[in-house]
Amino acid sequence: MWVSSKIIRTALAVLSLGVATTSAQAAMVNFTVTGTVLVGEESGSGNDYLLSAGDTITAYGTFDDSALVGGTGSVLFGLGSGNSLTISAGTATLLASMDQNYDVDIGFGYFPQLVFDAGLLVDFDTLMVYGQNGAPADFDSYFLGFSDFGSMYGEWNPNVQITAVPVPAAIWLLGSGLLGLAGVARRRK
Amino acid sequence: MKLVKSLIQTLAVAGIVVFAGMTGVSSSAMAMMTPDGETPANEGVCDGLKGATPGLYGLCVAYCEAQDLDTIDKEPPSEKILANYEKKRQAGDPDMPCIQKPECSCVSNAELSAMTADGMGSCNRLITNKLTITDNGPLNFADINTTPGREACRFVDTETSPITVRSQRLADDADSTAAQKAEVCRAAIDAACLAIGQ
Repeated sequence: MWVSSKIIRTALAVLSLGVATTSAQAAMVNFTVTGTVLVGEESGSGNDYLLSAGDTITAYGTFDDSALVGGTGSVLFGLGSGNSLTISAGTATLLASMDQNYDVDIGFGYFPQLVFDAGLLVDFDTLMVYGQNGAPADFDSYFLGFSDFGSMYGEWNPNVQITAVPVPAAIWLLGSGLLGLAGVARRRK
Repeated sequence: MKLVKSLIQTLAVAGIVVFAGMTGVSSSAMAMMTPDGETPANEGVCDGLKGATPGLYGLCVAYCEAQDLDTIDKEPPSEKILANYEKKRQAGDPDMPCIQKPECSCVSNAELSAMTADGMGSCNRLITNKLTITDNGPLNFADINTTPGREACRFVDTETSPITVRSQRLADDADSTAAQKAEVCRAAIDAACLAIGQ
């Protein structure tokens, strides 16, 4: 009797914890931004990324969307933000930690950062300098333009794909198992 | 003989007096002119404004030529005249011709003027420390990032073939003038934006 009651209470506690965890995770979102190269290899000199006009680069990761109010606000990816950002540009992979100000606050927070206005991306700010913080090449982006300070230049698409981070299946499996356990315990009572 | 000698002396003195007098007259005439000795309206530095907004040509003559700012900055410029010029200036009118503004390393003042000439330019001042001017017909733009330590400027013109792209990192570690260079670009773009009322 006491045991079954305890099982039920435990099951409910675990379930509520699972729901709470789910709610907290709902603020974390996946995002993907694509950029199109407008000028690249065809301009004459080779660029660091071996990209040509028409090629696509992608930035993706996760961030806490509580930073946005009505789709407007700034999302920082610097040290301690809990957000993640990866840029896949040609043969190179650039990480948020490679930004020159990833762990240096220059009065405007830690970079990189994305700035949204009514759901549209208006500023993608990151500065990676070859050799600093492990950056494999120069990469500069502000407003919606990105470049390698050389022959490559492109623009980010202001429409960012944002999706909720899926709740791990294990949470639901654990919850249903506990619910079943609670049901069995109640029947035995 | 004595008479001849006296005559020569008299003539010499008269010659000196006449020469001195002419020089004096000449100096008086020079004093009536501008420091470079050229009549203001004949110098031509303001000629490009003859077809511009009425009034600008006169203000230009008053500001540039009368003070000879195109050659020697001898007198302090009249800020009031310059203010009147800026007040009267409309989209498409050039800057005061005799003011040599420092140029942004990414985009020249002439390129900025060309962007605003068709009246289709627009500026974005929404982002802190960043300013961009875009000309929508056809697509070309100039922008500046003045964030300390991240200073950079760009100019893209898709009308040229091949497309013109200038992208510079001003915040060079070995160069302590990054902020100044960025400010020059910001001021140049800002002036272009103001010229189109933005």
